[in-house]
Amino acid sequence: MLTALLISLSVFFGGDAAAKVYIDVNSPNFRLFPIAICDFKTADAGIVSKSSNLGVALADEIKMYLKLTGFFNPLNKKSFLDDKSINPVIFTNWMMIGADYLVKGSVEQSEKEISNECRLYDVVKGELLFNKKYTASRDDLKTLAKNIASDILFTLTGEEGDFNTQIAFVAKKGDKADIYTVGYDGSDLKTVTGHRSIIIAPRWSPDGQFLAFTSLKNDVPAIYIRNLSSGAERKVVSFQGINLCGYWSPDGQKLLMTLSKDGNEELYVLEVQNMRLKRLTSNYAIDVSPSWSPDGKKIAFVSNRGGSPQIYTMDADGGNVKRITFEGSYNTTPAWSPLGGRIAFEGLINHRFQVFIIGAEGDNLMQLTFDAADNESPSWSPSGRQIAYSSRTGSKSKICVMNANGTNVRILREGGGSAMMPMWSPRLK
Amino acid sequence: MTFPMFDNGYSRKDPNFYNMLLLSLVAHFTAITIVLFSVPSAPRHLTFGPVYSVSLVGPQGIPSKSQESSSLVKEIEQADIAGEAANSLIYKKQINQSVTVPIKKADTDRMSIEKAINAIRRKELAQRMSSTSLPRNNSGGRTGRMAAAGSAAGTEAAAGGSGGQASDYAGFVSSRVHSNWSIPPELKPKSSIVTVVEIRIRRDGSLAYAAFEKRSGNNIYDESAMKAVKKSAPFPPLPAAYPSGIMEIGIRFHPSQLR
Repeated sequence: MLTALLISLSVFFGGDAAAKVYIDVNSPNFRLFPIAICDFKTADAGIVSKSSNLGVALADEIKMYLKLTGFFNPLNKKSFLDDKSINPVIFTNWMMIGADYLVKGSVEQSEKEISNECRLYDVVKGELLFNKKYTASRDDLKTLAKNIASDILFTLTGEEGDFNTQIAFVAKKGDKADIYTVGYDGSDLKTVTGHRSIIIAPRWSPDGQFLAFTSLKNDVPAIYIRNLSSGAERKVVSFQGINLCGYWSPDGQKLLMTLSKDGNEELYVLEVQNMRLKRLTSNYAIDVSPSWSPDGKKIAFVSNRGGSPQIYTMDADGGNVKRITFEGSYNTTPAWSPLGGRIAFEGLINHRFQVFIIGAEGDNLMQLTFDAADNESPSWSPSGRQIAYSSRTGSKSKICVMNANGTNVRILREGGGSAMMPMWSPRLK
Repeated sequence: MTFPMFDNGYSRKDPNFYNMLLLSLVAHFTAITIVLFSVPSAPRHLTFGPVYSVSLVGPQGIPSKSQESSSLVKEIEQADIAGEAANSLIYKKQINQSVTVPIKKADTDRMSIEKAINAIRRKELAQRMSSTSLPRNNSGGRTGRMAAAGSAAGTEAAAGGSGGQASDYAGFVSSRVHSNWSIPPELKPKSSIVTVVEIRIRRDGSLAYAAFEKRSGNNIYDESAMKAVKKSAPFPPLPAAYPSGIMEIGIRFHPSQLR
């Protein structure tokens, strides 16, 4: 009774006190960060010379690296309003063209090096986020651009990105194959091995120092570990039958492998230092293609114990085997995301292999590639934001890279023979 | 097949039963055909005779042709009837054509339906506010219904004389902030977290104050919310009937639709 009276009173008198209103906003729109990168000013501005092209070239390189991260949409400089001001920056000019962030700076070139001064602004808040100086050797514009892009990415997302990474892959000419490495941006192709035989599955060690792989050199199947800096190779395992190299453990001490020495294909783990071998699976089915989780606790692998090749997970000691793929008749080559939680694999659908992602518990199955090719052997980048895979049409195959949600597909390297089985390196020093 | 022959003077093909039946059928068929087709071919019409319209007229409506007027008219003219009967003479006029009445097209296009829905929503909101005075913090039910309608905001407001206008304005702020709120797809948080930004809008619509009332712990998400608010300023001026010179609004940002 009293409450009702009070309520009715406040109806009459409550209007004077403007109380706080709460509103709800749901579901943000999906949009990459729009960022405006101005051509860098050079010392002799106004004169069209080699150095002013340097300012344009550096800006273009930074735009490319930011685009590769999959978070940014570098705006076209033709849309920039004429803005020669340095201090203070007229932020409304940039807000009007839809930029959230702005990069401005200057670059200078001397005999031995290029030096750059770079400023990143938050256009909406009207704030300077950082002002840093960089140097690099004279011919190494790409490194300078990578460092700047890496700082921009870290400031705005807290992520390190994949800037200093490479992708190892098998290049086949005829029936002779060898391992090559290429920068993740497609530059800097290098030959690694000189086996000229059948090579399968190169695998980086977590510190980036070693590459493990299977080779049939001299017609003897064996697993090798190669020291990348010295070039020294060590044959670690060479049993009767199949010797297939799997992933390294996150601490770099163990290497997973598939061996058929005990009857049929089973999973084993080798301690690299003391060469102790431990068997993980023992059943009548074929168990292959093991991949370690980033926390070292679980292993994903392929088994046909259920009747067809499907992806399973188990504890690192071989217990607690659980099947996670139930759709499709052939699912193989699992790769565990460095961020945990998700596993990429190739699955047969409509007579072709395509790249899929599934949650580590078997939830949220998502197809990432859809084109008319066989897309196989997915490999995650260290940031977990990109996936490299090989795309095969007929007898030719090439390495492609895409964002982890399937967008922004680009060809890493084309030409020559066939390129396959890509493996993304960790962040290299 | 041979039939036994009764050679007693009749022709070989004696008039047996089947023949007679056939003859009878033919005769009946012919008779019925004649009857059916002899009916006149004019289409059957239900007619009521010529159409007349009648209107009740007073004695003034009668043409006064003294000579040719009928005896009935004379009678009425002379009559001194003090009731309404004198004024209610039936006057007959023949209609020669029928008037076509166009069928009114039901206005079913989308815009008008949406307008109608919005009008109903506004009315309901106004009704609700005039009956409650306490702001509620739990907006689950109503937001769910509004989310189903495809809009991105639900609103609540304290009661007051200008309650209706304030909630309209708050709804506008909400949809404007939502249209400016974006995040790269890979960075959208998967869990249901909440960031609350408190803003104060001056009478002329400019933003007096914007700060985090509650952070979610995800820095990129928080920054995206603040960016959305800052991009939406300046707002239009506050509604004229709004009592105070500053409107305080708390904006709750959710990564997904509330259920």
